Amino acid sequence: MKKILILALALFIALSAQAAEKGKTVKYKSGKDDVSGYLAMPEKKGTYPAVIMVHEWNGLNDWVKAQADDLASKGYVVLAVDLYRGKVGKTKEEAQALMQGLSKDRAAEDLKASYAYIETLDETKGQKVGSIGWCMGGGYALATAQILSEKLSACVVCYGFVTTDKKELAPVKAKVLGIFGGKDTGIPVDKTVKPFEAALKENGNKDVEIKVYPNSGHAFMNATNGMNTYNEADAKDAWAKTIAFFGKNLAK
Amino acid sequence: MNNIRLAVCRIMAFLKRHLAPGCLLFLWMPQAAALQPAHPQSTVQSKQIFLQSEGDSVAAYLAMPVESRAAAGETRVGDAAIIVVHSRWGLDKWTKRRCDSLAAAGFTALAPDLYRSEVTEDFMTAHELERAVPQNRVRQDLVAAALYLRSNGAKKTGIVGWSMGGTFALRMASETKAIDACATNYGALITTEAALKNITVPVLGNYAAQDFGIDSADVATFRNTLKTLGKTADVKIYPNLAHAFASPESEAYSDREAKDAWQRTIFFFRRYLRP
Repeated sequence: MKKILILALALFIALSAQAAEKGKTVKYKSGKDDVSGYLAMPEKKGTYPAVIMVHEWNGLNDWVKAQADDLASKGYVVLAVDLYRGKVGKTKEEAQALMQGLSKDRAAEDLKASYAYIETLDETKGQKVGSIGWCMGGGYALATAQILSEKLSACVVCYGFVTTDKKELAPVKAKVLGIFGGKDTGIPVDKTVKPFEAALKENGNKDVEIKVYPNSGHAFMNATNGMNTYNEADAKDAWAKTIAFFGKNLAK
Repeated sequence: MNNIRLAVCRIMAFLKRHLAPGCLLFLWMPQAAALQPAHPQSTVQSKQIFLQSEGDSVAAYLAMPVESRAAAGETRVGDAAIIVVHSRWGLDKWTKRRCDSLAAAGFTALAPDLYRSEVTEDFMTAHELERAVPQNRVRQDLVAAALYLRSNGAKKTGIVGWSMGGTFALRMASETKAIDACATNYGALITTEAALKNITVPVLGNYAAQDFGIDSADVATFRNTLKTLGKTADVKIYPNLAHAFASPESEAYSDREAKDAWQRTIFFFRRYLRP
C-alpha cells in the first residue's frame, strides 16, 4: 500500500513538473555531436526575437527553465542551452565539478550551434537575437557576444565573470546590460565591473548599461541558489530591467 | 656537465651523511640568509621570488635542487624547469611540497601565486577566488614564469597543474609557445580539433573515470584525437576514481593512484625535459 502511495505521489510530482514547464527539449547538432536545449516560445503563433539563455554552474535546471518560460511569455523565443550536455549539479560540489570540467572551446562550439539552430526556426525569421546568463552563464552570455559579434544584438550579463581586456572585448557589438551585486566578492566592482564598462566604452560600445545593486551579493536573482544571497526586491528590479532592455534592443 | 652534476651530487650526499644539517647551511653561506631548506636534510632549497607580469609583481615559490645553486652566486636554475600551477585553493602548502618533490627529482620548480596571496581551505571562498581570477592575467603570469626560468638558465620548461591548474596548464600548451611539455591532472579538456592542433608539445594526462565534471568518454576522445593528429600524448584514465584523487585534502584521495600519477609525471618530465 505504502509503495503504491509513493508511486502515485511520484507520478503526481512528475506530471505537475511537466505541466509547469511550458517549453520542450529540442535536439540539434554541435559539430558532430548531438546536443540539446530547452526551447520556450510565446503561446500565440508569430515571429519573435530570440534569446540564447545560459545556465549557472548547476546546469540547465528547473530554475533556468522557469526563467526561459517567463521570458517567452513576454514575447521571445528562448533557447536555454545545456553546456553540460545532460548533467545537472544537485550539490555545490557537483556544480563545482561540472563548472571546473567544462571544456571552454566545446562550450564555444555549442553556443555557435545554438545560434545556428535558432536560425532554422520559422518563429524567429528576420528577428534579432540576444543572450542572457547568470553566474557562470553570465560569462558565457558575454562569450556569445564575443563569438557571434554583430550577429548578436543584445547581451545581458548577470554577475558573470567578465574580461576587462579591450582586445578580447573588441568583437562585442551587441548592446550590453551588466547586472552585478555590490557585495559579490568574486566580481569586485572597482577591479572588474568598472574596468569592464570602461573597456567596452573605449571600444565604441557606448550604450553599455551597468547596474550594481549595492546591497546584494553573488547570485542574488536566484531564490534557489543555495547560498542565502537571494534579494527579492533587487531580483525583481533586475528582471524588470532585463525585460525592458530586451524590449528596447531586440523587439525594435 | 652531467659529470659535474654527478660529482656535486656525490659530494653533497657524502656531506649529508657525515655532517649535521647546520654545517650544510654553513657551506651555502652567501645565500643562507635568503634561503630555507625545505626539509632539514634535503637536497632541495626553496625561496620566494617575484615575477614581473605586465606591470604586476607576482610572488612565486621557487624550489631547486642543491646542485643547480651550488655553483652560482645568483639564482641560476638548472637545465630542466617546471612551472607548477596551483588548483582553486590557491598556492597552498601542498602545491609547494609538489615543487619540493620535483626539485628533489632534479628539476627547478616555480609556482606563481595566481591569486595574489589568497589561500583558502573553504569551499565557497575558493569558488569566489576562482571566479575572480582574470583568465588573461593567469596567462600573463604563466608566460612571465616561463620567461623567468628561461632567462635564468632553463633550457626546457614544462608545466604541471591539478584541476583548475591543469586546465590552465593545458591551455598554455594550446595557446602559447612558452613551454616544452605539459602535464595535466583532471583539468578541463580541450575538445575541438582546431585548438588541439595548436598543441605542439608532449602531453601527459591523469584523469579519473568517475569525475563528475569530466566525462571519461570525452577523455577517451581527447586521447584519440591527439593520437590521430600525430601528437605525443599519454593520457591515463584511472578507473573507479573521482576528481582530485591526488589531493590528500580531498574525499576522493587515493594514495596508490596519487603516487602512480606523480611517478608518471616525474618520468614524463625526465623524458621530455632532460637533454
